[in-house]
Amino acid sequence: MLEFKDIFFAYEGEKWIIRNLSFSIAQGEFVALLGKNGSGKSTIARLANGLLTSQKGKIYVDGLDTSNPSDTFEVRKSVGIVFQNPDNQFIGMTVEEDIAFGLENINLPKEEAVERITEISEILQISPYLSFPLNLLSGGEKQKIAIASVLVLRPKYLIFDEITSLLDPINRENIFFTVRKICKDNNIGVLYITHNPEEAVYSDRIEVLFDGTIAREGKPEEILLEVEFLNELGISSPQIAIISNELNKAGIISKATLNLEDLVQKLC
Amino acid sequence: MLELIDVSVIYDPYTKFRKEALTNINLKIENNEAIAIVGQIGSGKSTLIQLLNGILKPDKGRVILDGVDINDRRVKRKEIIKKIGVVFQSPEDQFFAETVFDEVAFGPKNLGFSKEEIEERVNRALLSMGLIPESLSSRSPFSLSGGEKRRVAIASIISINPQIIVLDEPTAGMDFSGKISILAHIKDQLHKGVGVVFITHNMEEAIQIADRLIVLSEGRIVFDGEPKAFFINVDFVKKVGLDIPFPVEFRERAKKHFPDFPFCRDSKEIIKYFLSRKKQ
Repeated sequence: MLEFKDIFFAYEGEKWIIRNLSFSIAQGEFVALLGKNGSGKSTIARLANGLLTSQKGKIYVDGLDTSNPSDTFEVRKSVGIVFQNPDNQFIGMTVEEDIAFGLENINLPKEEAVERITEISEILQISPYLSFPLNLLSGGEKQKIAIASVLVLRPKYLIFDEITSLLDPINRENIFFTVRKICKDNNIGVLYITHNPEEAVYSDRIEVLFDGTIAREGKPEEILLEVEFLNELGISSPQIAIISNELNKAGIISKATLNLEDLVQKLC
Repeated sequence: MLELIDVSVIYDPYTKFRKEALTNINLKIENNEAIAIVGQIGSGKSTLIQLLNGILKPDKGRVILDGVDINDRRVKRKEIIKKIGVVFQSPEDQFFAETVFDEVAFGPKNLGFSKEEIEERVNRALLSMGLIPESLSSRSPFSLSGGEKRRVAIASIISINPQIIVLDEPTAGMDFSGKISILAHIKDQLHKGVGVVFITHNMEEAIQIADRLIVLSEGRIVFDGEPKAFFINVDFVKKVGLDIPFPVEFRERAKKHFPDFPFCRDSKEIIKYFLSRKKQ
């Protein structure tokens, strides 16, 4: 379990950016953290694996306290992060070196490292680029490399911080569903940070962040159909939710839905 | 008018990474159009816009601006930059000035305008992006929110008063409210007589903002025309690897049951259809 308990955090000399924040993620669960720019999403990502330390409250990873320096190594091994801009986390010269970097750091035997790299490269379909220099790759390819270099460490929890927001829709969809499947298959608990409600539709649970604290949590249908509430928090709703809601209000359908086929059926 | 005649661009021609980024591009851009350039990653979009103000020279073909070949050695770069303003991806990464004013004034200063003229242009540019000069001019551009930064960066090109403003994914990385604000202000430029050319990965943006759509696939223009004419052909949209905008996807499912279902640009039009149907 990755647990945030009553967290308060402020950058030096500034106001609380995270206030009284509590929520948890179980292994295998895919949780979307939805909030507008500046609501504190990226700060939460950095708190989760100990890059930042909260001033009040505790974050536990399977019982380990992330603020405890002697547990830092274990915490970072358990919780991986992938950021928005892959260029910010590249280290190696070639794709393979970059993916191997983390494995060398945990002293994995070479043979096992090669095995893991081969496996993850196949899943993410990046095998053809392994010998390429990183600067020759497109944004979507680079993001896959960044994801591979974190997945290869086999973390128990993963934080994805707006990983698709710089990608085109096809790559976005491809990466989103690939990542979701890998994490489900490997029982990884995920905090998927996004401002894109279309992705949140496919989560197990949504945590809505506003002004540094959780404003609401629930299943996608419970959150995303609250179009006006989300709008007030500066969060857009999926178009299907907007249409569904309006038609429901007008009495044309009996119940709002997030499923397109379902909506069309209701309209017939 | 900006015209590309038989333009091709080849990257790393003599290495194993050789790539023909653009092939035989022919294009005319007037000053009063809103044009969206779309295409998969690697289809040549960014290469294409780098040609428009001479940052990149074509390996074949010519780029003609108001009758002049912009890559002719006798043409002054400044004259091109004055007319064609390019805003790159994440332009706020290139901020360097201490104040918003200096950031936006950089272009006009370089072009040698008087102090009064520069001030007037900066204020006008900021206002046209929905920013209030009095409260922002003296602030550090680095202290602004993401959406404000992006708008300041765009204003710093608008202050040059280009005939055509070219933007590479102006809303990438922006959230909902940031996107809407940026798009509305970009669209406003059109009413001020500035041509707008923008790259987008968001087909909903393309369908809502653009009058004309240019679709690139593997370095070639595969469609140039009204967005509706492109998106109505769903199989072709998929073939070139693009996303089906939600209103089009909706129509695909709905038209089986509602044969008169119209082509809609956004969810409002869809709702309108069902409301008017109910009244009947």
